[in-house]
Amino acid sequence: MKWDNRRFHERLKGALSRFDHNEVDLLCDSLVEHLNTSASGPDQGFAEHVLGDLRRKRYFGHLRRVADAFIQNGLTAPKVRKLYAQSLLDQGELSAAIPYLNALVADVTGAADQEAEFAEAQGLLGRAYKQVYIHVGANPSEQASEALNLAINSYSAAYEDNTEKYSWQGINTAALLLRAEADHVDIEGIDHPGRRGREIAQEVLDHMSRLWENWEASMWDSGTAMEACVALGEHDEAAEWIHRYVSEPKADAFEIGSTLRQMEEVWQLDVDTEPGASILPVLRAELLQRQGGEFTAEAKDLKLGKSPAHLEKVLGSVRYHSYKFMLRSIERARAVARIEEGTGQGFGTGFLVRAKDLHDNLGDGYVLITNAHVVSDDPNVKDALAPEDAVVTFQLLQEEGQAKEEYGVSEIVWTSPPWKLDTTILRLDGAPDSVKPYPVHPRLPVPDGEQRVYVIGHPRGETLSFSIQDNKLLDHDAPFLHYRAPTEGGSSGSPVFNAQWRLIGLHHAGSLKTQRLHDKKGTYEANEGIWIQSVIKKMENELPSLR
Amino acid sequence: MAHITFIHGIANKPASDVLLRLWRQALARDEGLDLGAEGVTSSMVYWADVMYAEPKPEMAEHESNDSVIERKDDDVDMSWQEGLSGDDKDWSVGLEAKLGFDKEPPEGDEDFAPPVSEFESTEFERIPLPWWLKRRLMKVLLRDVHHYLFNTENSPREGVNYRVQDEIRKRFLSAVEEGAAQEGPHIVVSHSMGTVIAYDCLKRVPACPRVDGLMTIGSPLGLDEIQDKMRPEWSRDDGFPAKIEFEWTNVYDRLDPVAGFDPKIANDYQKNDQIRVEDINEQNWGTWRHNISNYLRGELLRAALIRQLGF
Repeated sequence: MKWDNRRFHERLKGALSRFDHNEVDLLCDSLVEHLNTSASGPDQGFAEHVLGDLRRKRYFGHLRRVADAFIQNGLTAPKVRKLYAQSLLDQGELSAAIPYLNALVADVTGAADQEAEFAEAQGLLGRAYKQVYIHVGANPSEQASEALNLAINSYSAAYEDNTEKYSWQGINTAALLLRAEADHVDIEGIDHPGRRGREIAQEVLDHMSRLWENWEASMWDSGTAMEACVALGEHDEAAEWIHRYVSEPKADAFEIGSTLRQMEEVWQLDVDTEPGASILPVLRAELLQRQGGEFTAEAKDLKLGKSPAHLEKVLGSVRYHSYKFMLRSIERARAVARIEEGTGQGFGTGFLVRAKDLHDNLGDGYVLITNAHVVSDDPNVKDALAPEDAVVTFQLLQEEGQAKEEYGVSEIVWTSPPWKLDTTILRLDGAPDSVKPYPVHPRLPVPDGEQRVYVIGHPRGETLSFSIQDNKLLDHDAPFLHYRAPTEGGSSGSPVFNAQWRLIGLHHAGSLKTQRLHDKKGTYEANEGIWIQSVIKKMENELPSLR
Repeated sequence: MAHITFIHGIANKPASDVLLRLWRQALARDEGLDLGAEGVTSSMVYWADVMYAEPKPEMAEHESNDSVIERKDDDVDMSWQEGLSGDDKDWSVGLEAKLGFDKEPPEGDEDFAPPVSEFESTEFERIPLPWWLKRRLMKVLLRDVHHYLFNTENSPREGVNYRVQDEIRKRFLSAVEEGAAQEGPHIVVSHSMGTVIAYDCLKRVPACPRVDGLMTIGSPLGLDEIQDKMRPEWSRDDGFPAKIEFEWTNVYDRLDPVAGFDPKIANDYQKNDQIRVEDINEQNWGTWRHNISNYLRGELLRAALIRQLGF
């Protein structure tokens, strides 16, 4: 078929918005092949659209490959080279990115009509050196000092060029000058880096406030203003700006993740003191709710700072909701257990559910649900742990002093083998009583490819983590749910929640080639869970004595 | 699987998919009703493009979805009134007088707005909005209602002409047919001018499919001028559309400038001389009490919708 740029771009946009990795992969392969074999040179507008979309959706590996192909085929416009450099940066390849960006800066310095590209390239170079400083800055050294000086020089070269236009480079200059003051690093040509940093922050904040009053402020401007307030110690005002920033629907996981990193790595904020106490929980909570973010939170990332009442006051009710959302996720995580072999080796995940929610006659207290391929007393189930060999630990509860070090299994209440519902319900020898009950939901989300599910488990048998990247419900057909949460081995037996943290399923498998549901032909990359209501119904039928 | 058909109100709006997302987000906020998570499908009857050249850019910060909140120097073009005659003109003049946008602001102050704590005792003005904003809002309301009820010809873009009522009725029916094809309850949730459209179709268009429930929010259906245009199908004791299988819930804030002329409508839309519409006073907040996002966050509204969905 004849190549059509417009049609290709439409298909790519569709695949990106669905986070269909396989399709994006195939499309990028076809584009690279087309570029390498086409007689005519690549179109710059088309290249910018394609590369911009890959960048926005954080497909940096693909961005690098495709940008390289455009450049190799003669498209050496600064914008394309800049996106290539950005792909290197975002993949952590600083040694490759820095000389490439230095060459790009040299090429656009003083060039007519390239003022914006100069500022962008300087900004990226500043970011590269900043990252070097973050990596090596813990150990004071000549190399660290040089990196910080170069980062400040790069950012300020762009900012000084046009202080109103290049505010993000300005606020980064301010942030790094204040960091230099805190770390006692000398900055060449600036006697008092902290003072100069605050001056720049004030200039930036004044400009952002003017833009806001004139209804001209963009999403980035709100983030920049928030950072300026942090620099100036204006904590209440910082909370106002962050409210504006995260209210922007265009502030996606990429933007919020970048801001969070800046607050943690450059400003070194923490949740125990202001302004981190007001800012970090909101950014983390908002990140949890954004689609497409590559965010796997460990328990330590969800540490809470100030009291909820304080945050509600600072944030107002709307943003406070995000914070409550995060609290809910932590509540759920408390019920999640690691199932180990006697050797301490992680084997799978399980979670506590109020027994009555599964069957009226199961009595008070909690039971633990996991997969039958994790724990089973059925002799036909090979490779599962025997109940007497299973050791159960609750990481969060233990850290909070609410659970003992380990629990054993006292009874298997019900089990369905892996080739049926792959579920085992068991009682522990004294389950922790500090778990709050949570809803077992009667309904499933719309399988429109837009609804999110959350999985909490112990991937690879390691620390507790929240799987929330690209986690869309793909389809359901009782008793199965298919979703794209990127669970790893060891997540078997994890709870699957809907977007409101209500239990909908039990994770049990995942594959690059999962058979599609509803008797559809073919396979796709998906994880598979068991609908909790199917388990409840089956128990009802198979446990007549409990009725 | 339950389905909700939304229909928006007066003034320009963001693109259809954006608007639907904003409504759903507002409904889900604060641990509210997350339609997607609850397995409820939804669609938006989008008609802003029948009136306007292009969608409004997103303005999330203000979360109003209501483009009447703009700069005060943007005025509404009312030249369409110039060519009116007969009933059309009489109707327009009558409603204009009731909406009161030709009144001068107190002491000539365009920014005048009585403080919320004081306006309840203020006789001349019960809407705590700046004068320019109220004037603008009422002009948009008059124009949109007029163009719909009188099936005015409108050309929002070069080469595109619509008969406003014909086009919007067609879109509403198409969306409702789609919703009716789903399993489970089908509810129509309408706001502002969208309530007039929903009512008009359910009561006066024979081809319109049945729905399980109707929710009207911030509705001007209490205005006599609108009720008169619904005759002969409408009468006070037979105003409840037979096409509504179960409930009709009307949600208002008495300080909503659009609904505020007659916010309770149960007595105007009876079924066999019996009150069947449930009027719910949902306390909104801020000065912009017509805001759909605020309404959709209301606890009473959400409880009523959850009941209609059968959860």
